[in-house]
Amino acid sequence: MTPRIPEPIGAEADDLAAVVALRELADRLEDAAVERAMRAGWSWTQVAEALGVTRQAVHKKHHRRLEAAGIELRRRNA
Amino acid sequence: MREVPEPLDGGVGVSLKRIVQRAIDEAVRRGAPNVEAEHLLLVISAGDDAAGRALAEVGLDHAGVEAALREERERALAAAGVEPVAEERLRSTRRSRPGWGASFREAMLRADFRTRRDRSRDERERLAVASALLGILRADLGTVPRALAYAGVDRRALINRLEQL
Repeated sequence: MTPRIPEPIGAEADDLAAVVALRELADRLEDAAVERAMRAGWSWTQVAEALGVTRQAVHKKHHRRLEAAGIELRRRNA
Repeated sequence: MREVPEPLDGGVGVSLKRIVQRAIDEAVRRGAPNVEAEHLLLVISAGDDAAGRALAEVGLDHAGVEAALREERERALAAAGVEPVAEERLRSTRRSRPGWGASFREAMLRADFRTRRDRSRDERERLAVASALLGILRADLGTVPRALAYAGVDRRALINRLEQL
């Protein structure tokens, strides 16, 4: 029996596509929100706490991008 | 991260390299963490080679692809009850080195650049972008086939048309 290929649009496909779209939206919103907070003088520790992740995680994910953007990053408590 | 994925490694023609480089730029411009098949599709749709013309014939010029992808994204978010977020709230400094997304890798594997082995090197080079487009269109599920379905494009017919080139 040939396995049935599901249609790209439909109940199951739409739910799975929603996951993709939400993930992309969350990623982009995170990039923008972290950048805004850092420009406003938040420390890595504060951003991490607000996001509910470790300081190391948020630093690893964003520091290169923000450094390249020329954002003055707070060192104290950073 | 910038190295081309394995299926593209070695013997990649200049036109394909150029297209892949533009797909990376497109992903960066859109703030995407990874280069996906849709970024490659956007770039191919902006070209005036055989692949670009085949897309334009079914209404998928660059603006057509943009609109189809936007509609797909909006409908996918709507399926979760989420309204699109204003672009200015999503604006941020881009990552300069996106990774390779699974859909991009799959497209390159499905492109099967060796199928036109009977053709001359020049001819294969001329059709390399069309082969890449075939690789994108051969995905049955995911963002691109959804976008094409919403745009009312007959994906199978487009594949057949490209295979005749």
